Amino acid sequence: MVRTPLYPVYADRARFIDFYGWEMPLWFSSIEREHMAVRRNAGVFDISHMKRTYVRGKRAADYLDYLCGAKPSALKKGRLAYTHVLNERGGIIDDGIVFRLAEDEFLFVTNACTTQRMSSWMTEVAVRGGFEVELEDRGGREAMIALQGPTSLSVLKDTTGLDMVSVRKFECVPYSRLLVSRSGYTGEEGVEIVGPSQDVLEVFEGLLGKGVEPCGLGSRDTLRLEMGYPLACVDFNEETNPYEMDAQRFLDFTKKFIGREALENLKPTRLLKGVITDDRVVLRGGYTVECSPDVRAKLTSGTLSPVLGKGIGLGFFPTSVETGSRVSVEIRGKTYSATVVRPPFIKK
Amino acid sequence: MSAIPEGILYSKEHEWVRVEHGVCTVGITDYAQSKLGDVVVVDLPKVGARLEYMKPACSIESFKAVSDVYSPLSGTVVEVNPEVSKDPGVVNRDPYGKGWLFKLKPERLEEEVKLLLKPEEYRRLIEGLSDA
Repeated sequence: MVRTPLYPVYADRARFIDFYGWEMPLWFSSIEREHMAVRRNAGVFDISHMKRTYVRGKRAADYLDYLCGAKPSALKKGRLAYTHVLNERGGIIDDGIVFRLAEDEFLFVTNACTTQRMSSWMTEVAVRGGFEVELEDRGGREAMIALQGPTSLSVLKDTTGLDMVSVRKFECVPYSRLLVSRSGYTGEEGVEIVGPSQDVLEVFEGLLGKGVEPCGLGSRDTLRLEMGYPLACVDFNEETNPYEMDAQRFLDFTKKFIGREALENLKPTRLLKGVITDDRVVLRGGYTVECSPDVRAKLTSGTLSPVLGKGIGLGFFPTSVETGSRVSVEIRGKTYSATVVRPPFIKK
Repeated sequence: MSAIPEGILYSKEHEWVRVEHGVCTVGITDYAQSKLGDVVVVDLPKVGARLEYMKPACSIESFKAVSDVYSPLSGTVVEVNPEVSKDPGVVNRDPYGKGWLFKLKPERLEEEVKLLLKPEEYRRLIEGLSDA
């Protein structure tokens, strides 16, 4: 397994997991404690394992417009956008966040699970499309953390002097050698910080020194599930199209992009929806949901919501299954009543 | 380092059993709870249920996974811990005390007790496994 540059900070204080080849903290103290720290105060995650590609050149914006469903060329400097990368069939190769750093420079943050596929694809698209762009991955020279929670901006200011209050959501600013964005995957206030490994390590240690809770991938998953945020390789893959994810608002049909033609001929027959149980049970990907005697669905992911104390999950349901439908989930031979809902599960 | 109190016996599947006046109290070890993480749901056996030596008696679920709890002795369940249903986290916080799971009346105590591990033997077992 590979370790991030921040591993030395937490080597002896975490329970580890193999996450697509990365040795990552699953939890430090407990998933529940870390989850609630983010909901109530502040928690910090090592997210250095995520793929980061710097895209540079006069045609960087055109290239990204072609590669992505959204329109990075329309971003002003310092703005971010959530986007999908599709294949020619309109299937989702990956999702990620594009940052515009300058006229000819962008940062594209995508998932760890699709690193190999995205490396090859991005190069192939540049070559095939005749885009002269520089694609740079800084590997272990760079690290990234996410600081999330209601008190995150104030502890960030205490630790680094950087006041992000006047920076809007989905905007980023440079700070010394770091890039700091108001973004995150938890539904809370917070920032993501990327930069040279040593610089990020110092901020990471500084935050821990100020009492910020170190958080692992376990709580990262329970937090994003409460918000209903899908996870690449778990909730969707290349057999999934954006319509099935109710993600059409992230697509810009005013420009040419890979997968656009295929999408124009697609009508979704299923939709990713949420399920919440009546009882306190843990939902998991793979569990069967019975919607009616002849309609069944399978959950793609799930957990026990620490905030709600109920089982929550995501799954693809036939479009005939309406929000609000009462269903039952089968768990090890027993059935539990649940309701189909439109995420998020908690209000933010 | 995992806590391994004296005065109780252990199973290879990380349960402990305390034998007192003909009633045996069963729970999971400190090593087991630390591997599981937050215990969020516990499915206790029914009072009156008959359990068999080292067969699944009930299950414990954490965010991470569901785990079978094996009965270290054959016998009949006489009591289950009401605390655990109300506050499953007690299994993490106090696995040998307030986090006990169930009590049983043993059928073959003398015979089966010989098959269980003494504290020192259990310590050697877990030292041979990955870090607690």
